[in-house]
Amino acid sequence: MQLFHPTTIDEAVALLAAHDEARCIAGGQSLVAMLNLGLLDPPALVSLRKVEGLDRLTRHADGSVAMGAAVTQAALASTDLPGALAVLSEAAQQVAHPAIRNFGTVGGALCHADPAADLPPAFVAADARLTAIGPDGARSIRAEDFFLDYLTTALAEDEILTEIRLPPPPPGSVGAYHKFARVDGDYATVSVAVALTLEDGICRAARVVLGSCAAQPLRLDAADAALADTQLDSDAVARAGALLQDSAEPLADMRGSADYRRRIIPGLVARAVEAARARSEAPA
Amino acid sequence: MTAAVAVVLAVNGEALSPLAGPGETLLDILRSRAELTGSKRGCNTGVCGACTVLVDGKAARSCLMLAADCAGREIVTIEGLDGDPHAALLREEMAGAGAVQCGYCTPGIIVALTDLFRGAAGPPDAGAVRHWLGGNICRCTGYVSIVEAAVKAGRRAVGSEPGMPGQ
Amino acid sequence: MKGLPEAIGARLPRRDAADKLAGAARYTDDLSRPGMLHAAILGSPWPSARILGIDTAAARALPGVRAVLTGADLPDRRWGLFVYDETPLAAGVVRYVGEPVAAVAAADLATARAAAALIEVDYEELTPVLSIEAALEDGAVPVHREFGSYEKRPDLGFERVNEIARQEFSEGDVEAAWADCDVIVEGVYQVPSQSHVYLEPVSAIAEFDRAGKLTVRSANQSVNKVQATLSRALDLPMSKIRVVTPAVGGAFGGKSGVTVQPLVAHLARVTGRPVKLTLTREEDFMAMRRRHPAVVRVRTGAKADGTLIARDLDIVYDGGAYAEDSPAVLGFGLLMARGPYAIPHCRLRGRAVYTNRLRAAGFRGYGNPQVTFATEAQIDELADRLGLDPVELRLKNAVEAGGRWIGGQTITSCGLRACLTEARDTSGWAGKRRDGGIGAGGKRRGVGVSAFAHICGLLGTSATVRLLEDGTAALAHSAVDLGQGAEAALAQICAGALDIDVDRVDSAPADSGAAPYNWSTGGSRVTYMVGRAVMQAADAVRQQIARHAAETFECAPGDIEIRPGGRAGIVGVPERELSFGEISLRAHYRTGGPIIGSGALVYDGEAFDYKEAVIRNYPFERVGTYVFGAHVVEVEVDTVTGKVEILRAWAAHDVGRAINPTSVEGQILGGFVQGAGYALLEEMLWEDGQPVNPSMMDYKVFGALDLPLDIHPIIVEEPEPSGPFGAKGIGEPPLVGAAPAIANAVAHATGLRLRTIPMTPERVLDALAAAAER
Repeated sequence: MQLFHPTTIDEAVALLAAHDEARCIAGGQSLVAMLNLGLLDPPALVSLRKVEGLDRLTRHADGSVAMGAAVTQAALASTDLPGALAVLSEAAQQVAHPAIRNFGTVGGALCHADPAADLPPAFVAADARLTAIGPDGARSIRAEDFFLDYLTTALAEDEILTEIRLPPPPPGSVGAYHKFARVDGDYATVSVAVALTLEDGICRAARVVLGSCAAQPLRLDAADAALADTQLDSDAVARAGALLQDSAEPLADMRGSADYRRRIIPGLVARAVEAARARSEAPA
Repeated sequence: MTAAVAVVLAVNGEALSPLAGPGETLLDILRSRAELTGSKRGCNTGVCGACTVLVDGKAARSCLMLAADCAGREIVTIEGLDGDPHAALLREEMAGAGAVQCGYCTPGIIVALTDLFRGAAGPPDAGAVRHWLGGNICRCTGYVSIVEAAVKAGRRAVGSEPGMPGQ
Repeated sequence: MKGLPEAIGARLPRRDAADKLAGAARYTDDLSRPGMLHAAILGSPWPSARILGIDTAAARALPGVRAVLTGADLPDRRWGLFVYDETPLAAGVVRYVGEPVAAVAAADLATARAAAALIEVDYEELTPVLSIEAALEDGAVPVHREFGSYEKRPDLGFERVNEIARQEFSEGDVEAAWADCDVIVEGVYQVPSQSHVYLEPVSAIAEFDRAGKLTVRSANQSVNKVQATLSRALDLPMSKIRVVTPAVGGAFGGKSGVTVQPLVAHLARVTGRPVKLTLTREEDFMAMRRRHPAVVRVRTGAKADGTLIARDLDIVYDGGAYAEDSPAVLGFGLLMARGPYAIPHCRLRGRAVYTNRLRAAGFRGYGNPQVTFATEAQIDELADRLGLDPVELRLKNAVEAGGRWIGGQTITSCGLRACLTEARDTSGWAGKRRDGGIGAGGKRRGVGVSAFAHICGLLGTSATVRLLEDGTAALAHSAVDLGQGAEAALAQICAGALDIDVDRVDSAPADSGAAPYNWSTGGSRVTYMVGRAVMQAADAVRQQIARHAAETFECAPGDIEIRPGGRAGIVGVPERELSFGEISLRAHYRTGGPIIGSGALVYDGEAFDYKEAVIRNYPFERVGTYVFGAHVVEVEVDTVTGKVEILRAWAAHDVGRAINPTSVEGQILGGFVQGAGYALLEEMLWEDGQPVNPSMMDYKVFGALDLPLDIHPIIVEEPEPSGPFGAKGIGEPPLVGAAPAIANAVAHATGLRLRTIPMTPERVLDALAAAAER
């Protein structure tokens, strides 16, 4: 295995193109564990550590946010983001443990595409746009189109995720991330990321995304529609929860059976929606 | 296998250039090449926290850092905290509280809490300590004595620094 | 504490703490020897298979490889604790996934691991035995076809294929007694396989010197057991084996027998070089030890006033692929199955069986947590049926000093009532009991209690105390310190017995070549048993000191008193005294010779009364003296997810005398938390014989955020007449009481009785859903 330290994205892309089955390494907090366990043995690793500018997080005046793929989870966790984008920092705060977040990156977590991880559902809820750069230049991918399957993304082998852009959150928007796990810091048994736009107590738009309930973050137009234009009364929330529950195809593992995970979805959705709504009522 | 290469590391203030194989981690190198065995290997997958060191001033799992990717970084291990005032207070309080049993998790806990104390604006409360220690598994103590010792040490350490809120 | 020396009951910091806090303590894997090779193992992929052939050519050809061993390369010398069924590498047949099949020694670890991966093994898969039921069904496949030919010490009465042992403790007439009961409760309880998860994975370094003497440094709980087993495994006299224990990173019973020492010694022998093997966490999970899972059937009957009348208990422990401690774990579980209650009619029977899963062995509690989970749940079920307060029901039936244990032994000291009342009163039991089931946001609160017993005692031990030239003392014993504070407690006992400052007592780490015999650090026995040996040794030293003083002062030794601070003087004449230093110099250079005292004993309490009780196939005549505890736990059950959260706990333990209260509290807190994991979280899982969660990512233990800080250790001191300064053991009991108290709290919160642990969120939610349908 070779380890390369390119200093520019173009150089990194060229290295990926030149080495079959090469992988990018950023913080390495999942990848090195997999190397240690012998689950991966790539012929080459392209470290993004020395590529300039990937660790910047910028909050623009219009409320939009841009973050480089190498922004650490700790940096995201400690950033106060406007409106519904709070779902991102809240999810980042619940990734593993402080030392992991210090080095684990946002881009790394998204590219690892573990359906039980915390950041993917949060970034889908926030409707993030992911910038990928390959030999043919850059393209933008919506977060919900990015996660294709278990540990599989829409990135081509020679593409690198470089930046994540978040559109300005609408006025009155709130977000929350509610995670249920066996113990603190474990992967989620089920998690719920919520972004709501509220106007005088009425929910104008909703994005509810489940983690650990399918091979990729699970969002349903119908469930979001069930919340839209309601006062988030318990019937509406239960309807959304039931729709998600019907569509969920969770894995079964030592964290819980598929049936168990399905059963707790409505209750957790209700808690996540309530947490988000409470945020709109709390003094800013 | 690709040949090992020399990696220039700054460990506990000293320049080292140990050989590192491409898949070798910082923990591997510290323990086997630098004779710094205070960082422990409990799981090698980043779960237990016994291998925690400071990398560029931040708590890190040394088992999850490729040694070759640490070139140029400042590494501080438990052995490098011997003159550290925060670590000294933590050690004193933990010894007195019976917060050390088998001791295998202890170095990682001292390193992690030192990181917490350095970054804290005031003495961390029990909640902050537990939060910070969430990733350091201890199988012996049940954590209560560790948290209580750390809170006491924090009151002495962080509150008494110039420019910090008083005790 | 009138009349107690200063060192007894002192909250002194451990002497090993400073090095551990500095990262300077050396554990086995931290050590290196000149020319040392590194070893790696290859584990079996099948739960049951015949090894048809092993091709090691590619592994041997790898540069840097110095030796490759398979089972066929090793002599047929088996070892065990009761049944001699173990070999260092699988011999012809593999019996669990992960069982070491081949081992490599190479110049570096990466090469050793790469070579192990190149070994090709040709297997013929056999039908595995994957459950207790499968092990015992008619026509079951034997896990050990050669079982009949194994040496057994003693033979423990197996009757069916796959039975490792079958035992019974009975008294009274159970069948007739049911008619006297107004209420009878009955249930089947299932308890899981818990992994020790000591934070330091198993490790050993072996080397031979040119004279053929073997030295092994390893994580273990008994240098003497390791020495004896190595002697058998390697066909070497014990005089040619030295076993040393560096710092041990936790054990909890999991390092109690030999682990990888025989294999590493074989590698050292064939290579002529020092060899180190440290298991990866995953290998340790798969190839070492675990707590016995068990199925417990219990029936208990009582009078309407709460008087317990009869109990019938049948337990089957899954011992896994090798017998190890199973016969003793079974027997000890049965000895605890009456509980700390005077139930006149009991039939307590059990078996341990082989299956094609990882061997089960001793783990903090040693068969007792399995039994006590079931029996203490049943006491609450009875209290429910009778409309009695659970604490009151326990107090009504609690044994007392002077009473008899099942088997006939007299209980010599008993703080059980004090434990129950202290836990009740400090927890605010009555109020919490009234408010059961109350909670907000889909959560319900409850509080539960457990009462339980354990023993401390068992087998042989010894110690020496030497007076050094300056009057300080050197204590030697082989009680390996696993982190629990054995070294400190024994040094304090020695200091107490000599009435000197503990800083004036040195004690060396366990080393079979330097310190006297101790059976094991296990069974909660070190403070009590080794402490007694230390008392004897120190007493012999005191007598010699007194003789020297009497000779000097020309008086009778009986006129000499030992004074605090290391002085001996004439009773009633304060100015006539000598320091220990002066006396020791006299002994070293003038007369008598250096002062040395020794102590040695085998547990010598009352034996079982074979006329009063039916005791079948129990390997010991006497086990130990009894210790007691009671826990109260408050929980909150989330009805949305089924998750149980511990809010607060009070753990009261009768330790006879707390030699070091801080260490005692450390045992109580740590044991309770491991027990909470057993109750709520931890379970090793297999599917088709394949381990499902053999890593710390998948097998979880509680972290700092998962538990409350409100866990309150309560020390009760009811001195044990035979104990050093009255002290008894505390290592295991705190784990034993946790699961039943938590289950009883969950029952109080929800009205539901969960008879299977761990009470995972899914199991709790299933129970809630099933109740809702009724």
